[in-house]
Amino acid sequence: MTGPRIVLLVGILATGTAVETAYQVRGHIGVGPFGWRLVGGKFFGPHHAFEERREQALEAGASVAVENSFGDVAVTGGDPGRVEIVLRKDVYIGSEAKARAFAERITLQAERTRGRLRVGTNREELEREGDAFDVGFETHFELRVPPGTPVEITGAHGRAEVDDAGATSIDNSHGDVRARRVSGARVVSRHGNVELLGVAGDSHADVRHGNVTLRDAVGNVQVVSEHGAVSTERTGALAVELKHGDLKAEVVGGQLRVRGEHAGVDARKVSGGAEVESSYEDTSLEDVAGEARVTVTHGGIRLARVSGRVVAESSFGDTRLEDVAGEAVVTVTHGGIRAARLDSGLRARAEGDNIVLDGFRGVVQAEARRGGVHLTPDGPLQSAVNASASYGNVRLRVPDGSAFELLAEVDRGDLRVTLPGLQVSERNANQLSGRLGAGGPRIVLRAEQGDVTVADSFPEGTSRAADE
Amino acid sequence: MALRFRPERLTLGVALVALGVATLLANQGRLDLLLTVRQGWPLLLILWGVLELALTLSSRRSS
Repeated sequence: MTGPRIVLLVGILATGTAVETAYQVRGHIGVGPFGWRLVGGKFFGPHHAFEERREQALEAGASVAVENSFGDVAVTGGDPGRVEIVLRKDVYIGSEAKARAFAERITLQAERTRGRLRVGTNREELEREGDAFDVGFETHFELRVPPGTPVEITGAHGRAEVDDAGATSIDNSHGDVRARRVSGARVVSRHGNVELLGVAGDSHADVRHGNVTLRDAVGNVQVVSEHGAVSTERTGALAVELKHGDLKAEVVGGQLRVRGEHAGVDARKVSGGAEVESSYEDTSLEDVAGEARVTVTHGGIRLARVSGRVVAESSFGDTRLEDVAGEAVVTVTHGGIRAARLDSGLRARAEGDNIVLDGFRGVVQAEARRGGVHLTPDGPLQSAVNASASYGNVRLRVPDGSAFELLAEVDRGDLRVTLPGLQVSERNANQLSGRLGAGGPRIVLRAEQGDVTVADSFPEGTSRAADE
Repeated sequence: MALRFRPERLTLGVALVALGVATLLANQGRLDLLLTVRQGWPLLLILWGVLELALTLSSRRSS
C-alpha cells in the first residue's frame, strides 16, 4: 500500500471518528436557557409540521387554561358554546415519515374540570421516554373561545396572544405577550415584551426583561418592570414600580404613583394627583390635576401646569416649576430652583445654585446656600417674602402699587435699595428698614456673603439671572 | 500523455464534492450536516474498495 493511500485511509477513518464524536456530544452543550438556540441542538435544522384539530363544547362562564412549553399560544374570540382547538406540531426530524410517526405520538389533551377546560399536550410524558428526549418538537396552539371567556395561559418558550376574551391571565418565560380587547389582564413575563391594548377592567403586568406597552386600559393599572421601558396611554389610575427603565405615561385617569430606581419619568395629563420617587434620571410631569409629590435623587425635576400643591425634592439636578396653582414646597441639594408663574407662593431651599422666581403670588420663603435668590413678582406685592442667601446676591423687583414693610440686611456685601416713595425708618451700612405705601406684609431680605438689591426695575442684563 | 487511473484520487474527489454539496444544503437549512456526514462517511470506504476491485479485475483481464 502506497503512502498516499495510507494517508487517505487514515484521513477518512479520522473524519468518521470525529463526526461520530461530535454527533454524540451535541445537544449536551449549552449556554443557559438559550443554549439550544446558540449551538443548534434539537430545535434546529429541517422540520415538518402536522396539525391536529378538535372542537369541544363549553358552557357559559367556564374558563379555558392552556399550558405549553415550547411553542406559541394564540387565543381569539369565536362562537358561543364551543371551543375550537388547532394544535400544530413542528417536529425537528429530517425524515418526513419519521417526523409524522413521532407527531402521532404527540397528543392534544383537553380536559374539563369544575368549570374549566384545561388544554395541553403529553410533552412531559413523551420526554420521559428515552428516544423522545433527544427530539426537538414545538407545539403551537390556536384556540377560538366563546366571547368573554376567561383565559389563562402558562407558557415557557413562545409567544402568548389573547384577543377578544374575558379576564386574561398569562404567565410566560421567554416570548412576547399581547392581550387585546379583554375584560381584565394579569401578566407575568420573564423575558419578552408585553402589550396590553384595550383592557376593560384592571391590568397588572410584572415584567422582568422586556418593554411594557399599555393603551386604552381604563381600569386600575399596576406595572412592575425591571430592565425595560414602560409606555402607557389612556389608562385609569396608574401605579408603576420600575428599575433600570423609563416610564412614559400619557393621559392617566386617576392617581399616578411611581417608585423607580435608575428610572426616568415623563407623564402628561394626569387627572388625579401624582406621587413619584425615583433616582439617577429626570422626572417631568405636565398637566397634573391634583397634588404632585416628587422626590428624585441624582436627577432633576420639571413640573408644569399643576393644579394642586407641589412638594418636590431633588439632588444633583435642578427643579423647574411652571404654572403651579397650589403652594410649592421645594428642596434641592446640589442644584438650583427655577420657577415661573406660581399662584400660591413657595417655600424653597436650595444648596449649590440660585433660586429664581419669575412671576409669583402668595407667601414666599426662599433660602439659598451657595447661591442667590432672584425674585420677580407677578403683580404688586401683597404677601410676605422672606429670602436669604449665604454665598450669593438677593434681588427683588418691586412692581408698581406694592405696599409693604421692608427689612434688608447684609453681612459682607452692598445694600442697594432704589424705591421711589420708600419711607426709611432706619439705615446703616448693613441694614435698612422702612415702609412702602401704607405698609402691610413683611418683606425680609438677607445676604451673608453677597449684595441685597431692591428696585422697581433692573437694567437689561442685570436681571434675575445676574449671578448665574 | 494520459494520467494513470488512481482510485484514491477519485475517492478524494468524490468526497470533496459530496462535502461541498452537503454543506451548501445545510446552510440553506435543508439538511442536518452533522447527521448527514455521520450517516454517509462509510460510503467513501465502499466507493474506494469498489474502485480498487474494478482496477484489479481490469488489470488481470488486460494481462
